[in-house]
Amino acid sequence: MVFFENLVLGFSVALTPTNLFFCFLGTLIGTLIGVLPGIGPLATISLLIPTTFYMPPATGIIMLAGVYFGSMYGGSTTSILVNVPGESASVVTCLDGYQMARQGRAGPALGIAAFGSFIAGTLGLIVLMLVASSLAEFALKMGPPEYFSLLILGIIMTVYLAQGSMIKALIMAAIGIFLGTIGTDSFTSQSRFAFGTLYLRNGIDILPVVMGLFGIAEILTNLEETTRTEIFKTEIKHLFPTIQDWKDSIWPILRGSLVGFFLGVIPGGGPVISSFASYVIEKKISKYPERFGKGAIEGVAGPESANNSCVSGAFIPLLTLGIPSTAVMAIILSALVVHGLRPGPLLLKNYPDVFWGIIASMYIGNAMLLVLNLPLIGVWVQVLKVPYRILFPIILGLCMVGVYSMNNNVLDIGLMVFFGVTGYFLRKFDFEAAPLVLAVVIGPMMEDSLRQSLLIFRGNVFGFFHRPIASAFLIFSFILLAYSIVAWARKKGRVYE
Amino acid sequence: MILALYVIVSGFRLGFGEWREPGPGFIAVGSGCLLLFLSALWFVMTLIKKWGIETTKRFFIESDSYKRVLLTLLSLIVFALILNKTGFIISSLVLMIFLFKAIESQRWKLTILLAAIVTFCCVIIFQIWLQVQFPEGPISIYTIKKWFR
Repeated sequence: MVFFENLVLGFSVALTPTNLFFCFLGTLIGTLIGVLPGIGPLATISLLIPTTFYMPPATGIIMLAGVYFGSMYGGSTTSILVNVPGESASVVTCLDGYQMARQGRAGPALGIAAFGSFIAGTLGLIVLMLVASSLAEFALKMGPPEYFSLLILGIIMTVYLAQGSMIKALIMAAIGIFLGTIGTDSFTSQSRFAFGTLYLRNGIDILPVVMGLFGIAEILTNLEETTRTEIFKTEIKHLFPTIQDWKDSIWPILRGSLVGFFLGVIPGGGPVISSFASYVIEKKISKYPERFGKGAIEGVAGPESANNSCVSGAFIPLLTLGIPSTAVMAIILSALVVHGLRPGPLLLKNYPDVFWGIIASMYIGNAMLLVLNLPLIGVWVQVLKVPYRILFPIILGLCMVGVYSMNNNVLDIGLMVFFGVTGYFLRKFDFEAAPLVLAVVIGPMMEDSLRQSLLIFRGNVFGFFHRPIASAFLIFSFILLAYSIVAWARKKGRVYE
Repeated sequence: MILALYVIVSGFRLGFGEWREPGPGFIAVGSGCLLLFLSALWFVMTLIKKWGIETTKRFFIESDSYKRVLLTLLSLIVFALILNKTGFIISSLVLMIFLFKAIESQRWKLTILLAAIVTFCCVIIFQIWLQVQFPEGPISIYTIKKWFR
């Protein structure tokens, strides 16, 4: 009964004309940036946060969530038609989606990607609604030791699930934790690493960091190449999958939804890993694995479903525990904080209209995306033809303006450019920026909860192990770390043999 | 490693505190130590891996890539430097014209048209709709309004 009351409350918020408009705008922008290579949802959401200052909190977050969902939908279009993922979560869709396009089956590929994303997103939201209240109640029982141990687990999982080297990911996390200390100490009000400047005394704003690491760095990397991609010239017809396509795809969609949701909930998961995990699972359990990579529709249905349900899953730890599981969620957490809302168990209690409004709007957003993506495929194909030499100055200009509009401070532009250069070099040396971003956001939370915990335990570090929940998280973190080290050592041993 | 050492030293200067009452430098020292250990490990591993192996991977993908990257960065820095002095409209136009023309060259007419459209859209969206305060210069929305009166 309470469940339906919450749903009604949510829809009453989400169905206002203003929120409907901004939900639509968010999904449209999200689809656009998903289609266009060169800018991803992380940089776009960072860019749009200053625009939400002038909106009610629910409206702003509804728009940003729409952007995130939309980018997952839009990314599949370029993967299938151009063999270039518009968004990193659609990389694996290139493997079979493009092959389907080459076989004259671009329509069914695009169709099943859209329908699969819709089903997965909806299923993910249903589970989100069912578990959110219980998890928020559970979170109220958590104190500083539990939060600290959960955040440690989050960092370890982010590093463990990193696509590249774990050591490099850990280095990035360590740097992120350090960057989070810049500013004023919350316990003693002492200035830390501010070099006597007022700008740094307020701490490092995450938005210029993200826009630099992901926006500017991406553009600088892309500018190195002057080759042009050609859209595969095929007539896109029969967008609605056949009955056989549905028979082949329904189980991959359901499995992808489950995998994606689970990996969205756990820190360090994210849409990229979800889509890869789904592809690997589908290939492993398929009766005809040799078809994968040659146009198997399961290779599109599963990953596209996974990356979409992952978005729903990722909102769970953010909204109920106040802990972001991915870099994008870290930015959305910043957006909530800017609006004076502290995500966590008290968000549900004190602002149920915001909480359920955001969830209900994601239902609506999913439906809008299905409508946007299928009939408008022709429009997105035309958008793809815009040359990158015209796109990148527009993106750069928007980044500059967007970051300046936050605080009307030119130093923010300088910070963004600095991190743009840093991000460029990080990419050259195969360092991932996502652990750094996550650590910058959760580092201060981790520090506060650690110091509070040590105060509670009077310096006795083993006090964490007297708390069942905290000790469970810590033990799991140690096991994960130990397993990774052992696996790495074995791999190195085999190499040297 | 240099960064790690700096962080550790600064952390101790800020005050490590005690375990029962951690100081402001507590987490800085912790992250610095972790960073130092990992950096040293990565350095040693890289040395072992590359011992006797010649690496032929190019830093820049194309021979003239560095020019485009450097020019783009310089344009962003110049934009930041001139923004407060010349105002938003002029600095934005200069940036856009440079990026459209100098990096991957367009025709002049198209360059100026696109630069004007982008600048105009930014003014409409950010300054007029969202009421963001941009630096005023010799040309601003107020001077443009005066011209048309």
